[in-house]
Amino acid sequence: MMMIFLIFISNILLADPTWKWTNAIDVVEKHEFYHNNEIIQKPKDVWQTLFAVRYHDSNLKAFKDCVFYKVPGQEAGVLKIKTIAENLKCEQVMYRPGDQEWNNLKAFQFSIQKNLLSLSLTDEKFEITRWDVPLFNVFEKPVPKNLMSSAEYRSARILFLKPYKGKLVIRPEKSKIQNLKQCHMIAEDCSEISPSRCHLCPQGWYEIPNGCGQGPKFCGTITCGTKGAPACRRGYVWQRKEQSFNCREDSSFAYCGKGLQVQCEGNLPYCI
Amino acid sequence: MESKALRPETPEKLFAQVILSAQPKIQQLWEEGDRFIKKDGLNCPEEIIFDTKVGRSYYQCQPHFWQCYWSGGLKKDPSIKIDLFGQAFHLRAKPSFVPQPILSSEPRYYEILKGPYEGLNFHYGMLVEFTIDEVPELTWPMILTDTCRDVYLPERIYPYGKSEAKKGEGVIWDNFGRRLFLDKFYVSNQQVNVWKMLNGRKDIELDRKKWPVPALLNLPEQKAYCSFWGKRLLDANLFDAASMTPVDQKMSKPDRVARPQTPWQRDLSKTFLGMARINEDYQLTPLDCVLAQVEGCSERYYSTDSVTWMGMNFPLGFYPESLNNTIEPEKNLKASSRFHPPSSELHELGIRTNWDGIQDSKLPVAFRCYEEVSP
Repeated sequence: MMMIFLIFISNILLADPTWKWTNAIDVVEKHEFYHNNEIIQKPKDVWQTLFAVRYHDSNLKAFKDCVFYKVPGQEAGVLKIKTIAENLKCEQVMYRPGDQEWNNLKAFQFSIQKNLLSLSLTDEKFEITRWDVPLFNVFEKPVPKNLMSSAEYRSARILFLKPYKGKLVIRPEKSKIQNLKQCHMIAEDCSEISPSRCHLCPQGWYEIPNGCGQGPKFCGTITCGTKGAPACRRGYVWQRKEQSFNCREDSSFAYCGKGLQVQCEGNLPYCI
Repeated sequence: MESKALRPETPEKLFAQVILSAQPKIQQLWEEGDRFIKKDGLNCPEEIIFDTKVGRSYYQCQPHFWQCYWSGGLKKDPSIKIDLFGQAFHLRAKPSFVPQPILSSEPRYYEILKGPYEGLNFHYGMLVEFTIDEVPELTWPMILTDTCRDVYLPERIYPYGKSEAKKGEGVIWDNFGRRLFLDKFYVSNQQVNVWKMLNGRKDIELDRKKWPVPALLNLPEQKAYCSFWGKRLLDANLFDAASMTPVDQKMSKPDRVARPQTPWQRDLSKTFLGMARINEDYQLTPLDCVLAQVEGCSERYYSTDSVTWMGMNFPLGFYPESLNNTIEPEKNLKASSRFHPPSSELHELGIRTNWDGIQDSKLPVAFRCYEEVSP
């Protein structure tokens, strides 16, 4: 009985764990030095975080599988995978036992490409096990084209969640994303202070045009162009002249509703 | 010699391969459900009604169609068959989700989700689950996104409003650097039901015949509906951009921006609307009603025959439509509709009147939303 149990456990431990990564939303915490398909040889006998795979289960709860490797040196190499909550950092659990571990490794390589994650393990008998994982959800934003829908522009048309075995009562978690205040920070000189996170605004977002190609953006809704509100964006091309825009000198990039005028606060146009 | 793909050794990987192969068929069933409907329609009176007055777009990305299909309302065995590795696999959606008691006591084959979630970028999604008869121990959940609802407004210089002689070029603007997506159709009662149910409201429309009909909400509720889905009530300048066909679609920065009077003909006098203005006895033809449903035309919903150059429907005629007008706030209603005779001067692009924001049985007002997606 004990023997059967041990075989069962070892099968679970040694089974290919990567099939559930097909529904990854992204691969994060990538090691900053290792290149794709490089045989990892340094630093010897030290644990390294190679990468982490983020995915959602069937209840929309987000998880992260951290992939660690103890580089072979005096001792053989060890690969381990540990599943943690999505908001934790892998380094916080680096020295804890893995949920799955592969010991006695002579070598290990991995590569992360656009839609394919590959791992290659070489054991003590120099036998190679290779896992290739197609990444169904990983998505590169397309150039928008005629007749495209917003759903096609923003993500894959089908988003895969983590498969499961047996029965499960589905109780999808409600989205817990709260409104950010400012979701895209743009400096007065038009440089981007931080990348846009406006896609996370549950009720959309609005922009205050500032003479730059992209103005600062905030989560929520306003009616631009009304009294006291930011002016609406009119664009930077319809003027048909190459120029840089400054609210005080030329506010033609923005407009207010009939009867109101643009007033500049710095480079931001408001309606009075 | 053709190389044969190796059958995966583990059931998990086999399952993934079959699902991957089935993806186009799953997508088609969701996005083009109408193609599965035969002449005799659907057999799910408790779920969704087939009506010849309703265009087939209604059945695309339609959760009630999905429920009907997997409940056997179209064929006895709804499974999706995939031939792979010399074997036939049969995929089935699972009724994993709790019933919506207000509509039906049957377990659901889907659950509507309001996004976004961290890493999952969607506002409207339908959670579904699949099993495969031949790999029975596994279930794969997935979210189908709504690719049917809206359409991209290309980046170019656009006109606003009706052309007025002696007024120069009039108001023009551009949307370069912006990703604007406009609803193709009016928001329907069925879509408003989803919104209400997600917000725990009980005042939903139960008459399935009325589900494809435009929802008649007061202005604050129209705005609340759009905002819930990360959208806004359609702007008048976007409506004009979507309905005034550019002279040359390849030239995004034309020297002169045209303002056609109708979406299908620059000069209104050459259309049936122009003829009706000068001929009191003008008889409407079926083609006229396809272009613009005006008084005297029979009622049809979700028809795609009146589509504009960029993919939006109902630019003239059909229902009066509520618009947010940031340029001339008081002109917030596209008044051209099926409630006015073809000779009415309201049937012209750029003509708008004022609406007080409250529905009136004599003047039902439809609405639609648009979304600006962050670049």
